[in-house]
Amino acid sequence: MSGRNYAEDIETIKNFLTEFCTTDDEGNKVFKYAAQLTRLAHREQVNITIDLDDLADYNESLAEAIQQNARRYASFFANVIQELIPNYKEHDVVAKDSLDVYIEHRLLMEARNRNPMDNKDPRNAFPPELMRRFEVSFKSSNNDKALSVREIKAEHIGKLMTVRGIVTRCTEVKPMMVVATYTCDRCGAETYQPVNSLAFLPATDCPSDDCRINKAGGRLYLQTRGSKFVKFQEIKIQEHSDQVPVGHIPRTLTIYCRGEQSRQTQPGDHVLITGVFLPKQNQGFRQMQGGLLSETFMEAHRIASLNKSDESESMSNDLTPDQIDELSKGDFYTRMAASLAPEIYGHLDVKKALLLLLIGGVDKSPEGMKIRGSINICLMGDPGVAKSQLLGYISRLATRSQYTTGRGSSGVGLTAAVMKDPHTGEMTLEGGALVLADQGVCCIDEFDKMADTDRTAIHEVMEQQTISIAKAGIMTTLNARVSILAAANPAFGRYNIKRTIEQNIQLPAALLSRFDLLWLIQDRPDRENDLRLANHITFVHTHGKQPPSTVEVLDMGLVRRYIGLCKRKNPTIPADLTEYIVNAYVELRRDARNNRDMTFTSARNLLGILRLSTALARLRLANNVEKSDVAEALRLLEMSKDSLNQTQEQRSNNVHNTSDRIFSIIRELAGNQKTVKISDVMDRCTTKGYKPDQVDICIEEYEELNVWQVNQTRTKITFI
Amino acid sequence: MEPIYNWTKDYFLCHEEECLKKLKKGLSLEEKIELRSNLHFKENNSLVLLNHFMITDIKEPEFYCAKYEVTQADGTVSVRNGKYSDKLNILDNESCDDPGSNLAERQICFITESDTNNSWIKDYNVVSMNSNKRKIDNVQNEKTYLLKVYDATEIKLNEFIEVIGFLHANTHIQSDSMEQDDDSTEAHLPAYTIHAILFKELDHNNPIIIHEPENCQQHDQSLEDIRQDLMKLFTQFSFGDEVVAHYMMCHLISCIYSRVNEEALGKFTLNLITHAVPSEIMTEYVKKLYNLFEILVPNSMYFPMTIENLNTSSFIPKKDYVTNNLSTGVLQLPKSTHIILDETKLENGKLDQAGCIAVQDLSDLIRSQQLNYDFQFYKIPFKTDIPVLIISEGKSLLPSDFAVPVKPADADSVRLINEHFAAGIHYMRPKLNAYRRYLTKCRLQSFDINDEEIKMIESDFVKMRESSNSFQVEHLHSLLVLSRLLGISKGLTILDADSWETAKRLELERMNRMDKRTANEP
Repeated sequence: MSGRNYAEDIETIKNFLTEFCTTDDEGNKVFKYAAQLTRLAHREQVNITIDLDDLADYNESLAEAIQQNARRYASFFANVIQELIPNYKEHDVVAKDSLDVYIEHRLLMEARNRNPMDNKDPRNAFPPELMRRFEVSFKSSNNDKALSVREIKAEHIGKLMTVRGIVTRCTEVKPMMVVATYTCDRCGAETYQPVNSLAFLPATDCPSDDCRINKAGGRLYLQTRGSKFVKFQEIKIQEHSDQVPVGHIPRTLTIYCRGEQSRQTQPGDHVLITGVFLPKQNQGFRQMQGGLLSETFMEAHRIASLNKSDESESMSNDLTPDQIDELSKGDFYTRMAASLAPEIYGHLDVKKALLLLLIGGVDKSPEGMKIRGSINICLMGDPGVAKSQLLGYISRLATRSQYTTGRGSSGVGLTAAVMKDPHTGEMTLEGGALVLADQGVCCIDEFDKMADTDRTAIHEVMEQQTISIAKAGIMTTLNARVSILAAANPAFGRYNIKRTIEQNIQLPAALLSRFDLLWLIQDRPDRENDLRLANHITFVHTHGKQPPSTVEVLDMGLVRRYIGLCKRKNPTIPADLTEYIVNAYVELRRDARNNRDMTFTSARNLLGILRLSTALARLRLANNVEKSDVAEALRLLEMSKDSLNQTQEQRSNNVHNTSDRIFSIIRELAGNQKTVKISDVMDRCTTKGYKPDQVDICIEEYEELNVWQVNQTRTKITFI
Repeated sequence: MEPIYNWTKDYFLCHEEECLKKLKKGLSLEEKIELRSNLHFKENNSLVLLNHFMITDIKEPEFYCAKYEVTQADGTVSVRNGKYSDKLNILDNESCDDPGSNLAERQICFITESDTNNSWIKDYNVVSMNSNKRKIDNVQNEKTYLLKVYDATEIKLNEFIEVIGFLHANTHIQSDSMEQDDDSTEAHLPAYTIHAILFKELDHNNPIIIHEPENCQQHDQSLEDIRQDLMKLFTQFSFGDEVVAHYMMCHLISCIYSRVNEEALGKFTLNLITHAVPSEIMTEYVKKLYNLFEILVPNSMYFPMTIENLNTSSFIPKKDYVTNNLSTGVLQLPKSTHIILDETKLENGKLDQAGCIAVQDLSDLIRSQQLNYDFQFYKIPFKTDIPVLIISEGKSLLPSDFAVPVKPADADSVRLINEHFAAGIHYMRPKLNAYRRYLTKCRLQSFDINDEEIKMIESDFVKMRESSNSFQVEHLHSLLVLSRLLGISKGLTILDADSWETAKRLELERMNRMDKRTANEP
């Protein structure tokens, strides 16, 4: 570094500014910086940002040098630009403010009085800062990794770097003096004092020759209008929560913003700031002794706000390439789902549904009507089937969650009442949880035990996503945008398949129908499963970690992060899918009428399908819902209905009968027609929860039985 | 070599290697006492020892001049060391050219003597200090110090620490500083700074184990004797209920031994349900029980759960961006602080929003042993290891790991509970230090389960699942934690069948009592 030839560098800078050009789409040369110089000359632009990537293309070592010693090179650039500007002036510029007028006058005066032989006192000469009406800043290379505040060390002092954080405090924007101008009350000479730090000691004695030689003792008076000020703002940034190691407190960093860099952010903004890390310059010897060099700050060159919409800049920071690799391996939808509560075996479809609940659908408000995006799921089943465990796991995984039980404490309203049961002396708490879970998941165990008053509130929450509270004569409505994950036990100890859900769970149909998915988990005490469970838990207790399993389980933190990422997407449903969805829905309704369906099929199901499909599209980080998403949503719905409708006996026969049932679907589809398109068959069957390979097997089996023939290209079935 | 309490900064810097070796070897009790008493005199630049302090806030690290060159008036140049001081040592007639050339980083934090430190900890140190020849005036001791740490040790919030360092009075409040808008941050600095030459995190706060690592005097009492003593006492204190005594014992030695998927294993929140005891006895009883905790464990806290307390206390630490400090909350506690939540104090009433959040925070603490500190723009989870004991008339409104209804043995054990406490405490007095050592040692004990026992547990679990529908996975967790602690209390390091059977018996009895309670409910 020491070997750099600054004079040479200045020459390089001059050439770079004038020569650097890129070629645009039409093959024209665009002189990026020269064009800006023209604008600077005409006072149409204040800030010129030098992109170090451009400079690296031009002269790599210079870009490197700037990175290491940004402050010095910033002044080189400023000087060079100031020198170049007059050449770029194409027409006279109208003075914009009093300082412009001052500068003009000063230059005229100087030109008139200047005697080339005079050796002027440097302090009476114009400091370059005074005449300058532009600012130079650097944009660091795109390859530069954004540091956290924690990573900034002593060796970074003086260097240009990029730091990421959240703004916690902003001061008012104040004028800061850059050059103080004084006039002498005796000789009238102007004196200039460049100011580099926050505080300065005003000059009092006139240094001009007239006064000094004559010992006139001229006093200096500060000329506010003749001095140069810049806008100045001090902001504080703090590390992001994900940059803070466990057990630590987030670090903060002070940022000085001058001129155009000020007023760029507000507290709470996520920012990416490029700047130079510097020690605070204390004036005078005493202060250095006392205050030491401990205080540091960053001088901002470029401030970029990372808004939620600005995905490109924030996304890459959220997941490391390793993590993305990890995620993209294999069937990651299944893998993500399997990673939920890994100690509970099986129940993959339930877990898939829970994954979608965590991600949530897209909120819509067409023409004033509000359609919620949050997905509500109710898990039912005999005691001891790990429902509570699933709930517990989900509430741990969700970033915002509440876990309550329907019995005793439950969740309505902002205020809560503490009530003592006169018989048992049990203290119960009424209220609170739902509001606290706003924009999160509310897990309610023992949903069936809930008091009637709470039910009404839950009703409202599930459909309107609000809670109304009548308090002291005022009705207020609070937001409670929550997904509800409920678990309910059957009323008679065991789930009785012959009865309806209302009878089994003893909840009104109106409330049950508000769940997007109702799931009956049946898991008889099963020796092998229990043993596996015991094995898992003892392993966790003795080894302090999850046992290695056949399915590679994703880390909880990674799943949580990925879900956060998914939530930023707002996929839409393309118009050409509407017909497919509507048909599927009509089909559902007809099925419900024909079969003795224990579940509810209503218009709410249609919305539920849309919610699930958008959640699936979010999971793929896509902007559009695809047919496969809808098919998967329909499959989940079908599976959840199946779990309720099928008796145990049917279940055991299920496997053998699959082909028969697919056959009857195809039969039905064909109606009076002799031929059916296989693509139609696939569509219909997948919406009913069958997998394509099951359909293929059915087609082959019946082809062998000579029930139908399949054409050469396997696109059509013809009944014989 | 100079005696350690006379070490000065210059002496230490000159003989750094030697001194560090000495520190590494460990100090004798006498030396520690000397250093601790130095703290009372508050002499500038004296070497002091601080223990039983916890880290309550961490500040930005600062840069200091590790070495700098000073030119004296006669032109001679000397190199000075900037370590362990806040100022550069430059006289009026000297000058320093480039102090910024050799910068090093030091970490800064606030350390505080926790309010939860029980008085016997302090007494223990005072008693040993009285043997000291120097007279100690009754100086009001500072509670909070600023600590500067020079090595790269990781500093973590809420840890117990032991520090040896040079004491400096902070004379920072000079009003000639021009930045008046920044004064708020300055005004909150403690009066003294400690420049650490030794910084150690401790995994417990028991002075007996710190000062007498090896058990020297209590050889006459075996571990088993101590355990039986304590069990007898706890039974008396639990109205003659042996089951409760077992749970109490396990609660006192519990700690979190690992975390898997954010589930804290080993947490032992105990809920004593005292419906069977007349409420007029309970007021006195909770107080007595807390007094027992105070003399047995190093750190404890009593929190009466009244509506007012819930509505008005701030539980979770919050970052104050005006002062740039972390404002503490009731639940910012060092690890293994025993909290007794007295729910018998709760009456009918209205919880406002703060109260709801407080109940939620308490539930979070119990459920996951983790608290989300409020940094205004986001929350950051901090792990805790705080055993919670809830005493309530019915089942607590807070969750718990082990809810045990108390079942008094007979009418006398209830009627005479105050006498039992008085007699029990009297009996304990001479052996207290042995009990305290025992409890902390148990808490720090590691424990294993052999494959054979794992098989036994697994097959037992399958049997239990077959016999009862309501036997849940949570119960297996509870059984594992309970049997582990029962084993440890007996001085074992590996699970034996006996402890497992006892755990099963206790849990069965507990669940029966709970079922009876729910059955009695209208």
